[in-house]
Amino acid sequence: MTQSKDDDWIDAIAGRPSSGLNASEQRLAQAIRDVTRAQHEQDVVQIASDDLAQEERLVQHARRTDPVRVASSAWIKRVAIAATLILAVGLGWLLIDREAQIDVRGGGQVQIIETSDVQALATRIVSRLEQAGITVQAYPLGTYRGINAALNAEQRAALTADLEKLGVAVPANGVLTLEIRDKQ
Amino acid sequence: MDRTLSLVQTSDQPDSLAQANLVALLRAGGAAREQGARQLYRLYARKLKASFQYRYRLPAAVSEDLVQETLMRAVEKIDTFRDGRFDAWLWRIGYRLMIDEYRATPASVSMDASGRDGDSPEQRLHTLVDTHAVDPALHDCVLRALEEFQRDEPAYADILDRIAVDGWDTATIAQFRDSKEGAARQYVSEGRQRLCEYLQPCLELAARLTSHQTQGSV
Repeated sequence: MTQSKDDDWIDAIAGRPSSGLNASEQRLAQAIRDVTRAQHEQDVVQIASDDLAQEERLVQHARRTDPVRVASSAWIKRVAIAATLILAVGLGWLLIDREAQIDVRGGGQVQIIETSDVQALATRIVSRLEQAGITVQAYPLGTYRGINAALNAEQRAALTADLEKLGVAVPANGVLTLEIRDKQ
Repeated sequence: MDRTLSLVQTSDQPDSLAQANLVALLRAGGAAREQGARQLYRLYARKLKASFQYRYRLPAAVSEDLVQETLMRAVEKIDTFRDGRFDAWLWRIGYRLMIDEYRATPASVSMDASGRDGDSPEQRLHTLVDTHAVDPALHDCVLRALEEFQRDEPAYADILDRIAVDGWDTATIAQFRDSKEGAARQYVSEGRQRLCEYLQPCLELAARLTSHQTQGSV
């Protein structure tokens, strides 16, 4: 592409060698360049000196938006999330385990006893417990029977053998929760 | 030679190496990026402000906000700078911000907001002539014409500044305008024609001065 008159003019204003302008045009272009540059110098001088607070804000912004820092903070974030998850899972596992232990210790575990005659077995267990002076809670559970009772150490010692004969295990804390079901 | 120091020292017209160094610093991250941000501010804040305040005649406070916003945007988006001149890219950010976000076009700004100290062309000329003593009559003529032109055509006037002060060429103007070179050339051509209308008396004066000089030398 050949150099246009406009390109020549731009070159002359920019202070680059330009052969496409005549002497008068060169002279005028030089004057435009001189005046424009002098005006610019004056404008820049007229502006108050650089504002250090603004410069500092820009540096802070550069720090905040630094991709290296953002990437490393994202990595730290990922590690933190992973650690939290591991902690949560571990804690959850511990809590579940603890709950299971509490159930066993507390006799919260329901003993399921299957028999061909639900009513007869329930009656025998209830009457054996009541004979020993134990308050028994007996109730229907649909087709099942539910029995709750609490045995102290002495009662446990006295009744464990008899209750085992009826298929009932006496837990260490003495809290008895039975569900008697029909054997299919 | 200390590379950082040389960046600071080339304050008026950062060369392409200084611009490339600046981009590299900003992209490097860490302390280098912070150093780059300082260099960016020192190299361009006042020039940008001069452009907003004196070419586009925006109020000083708006100009300051625009400068800060432009530089922050540049720091943030440095990875999107591909090739060409950094200053053209920076000026484009500033120009787009001015138009799109601040909704501040020269037409929307009062003529009183020029922010100058009220110097008359004659007063200003003294300063200019002190520095540029060649053809004082022609400089006087050009100064008057340019001040009119700057008032009426701030966008063209800003481009003229960039050509005279920063040495922009057609390719750089195309980069700034995000256009093809042909379109940029057309834009400059139109701007030059507008400027010529203001410079008419100076054209004649330049011709006369040249003619006298030629006759004198013969």
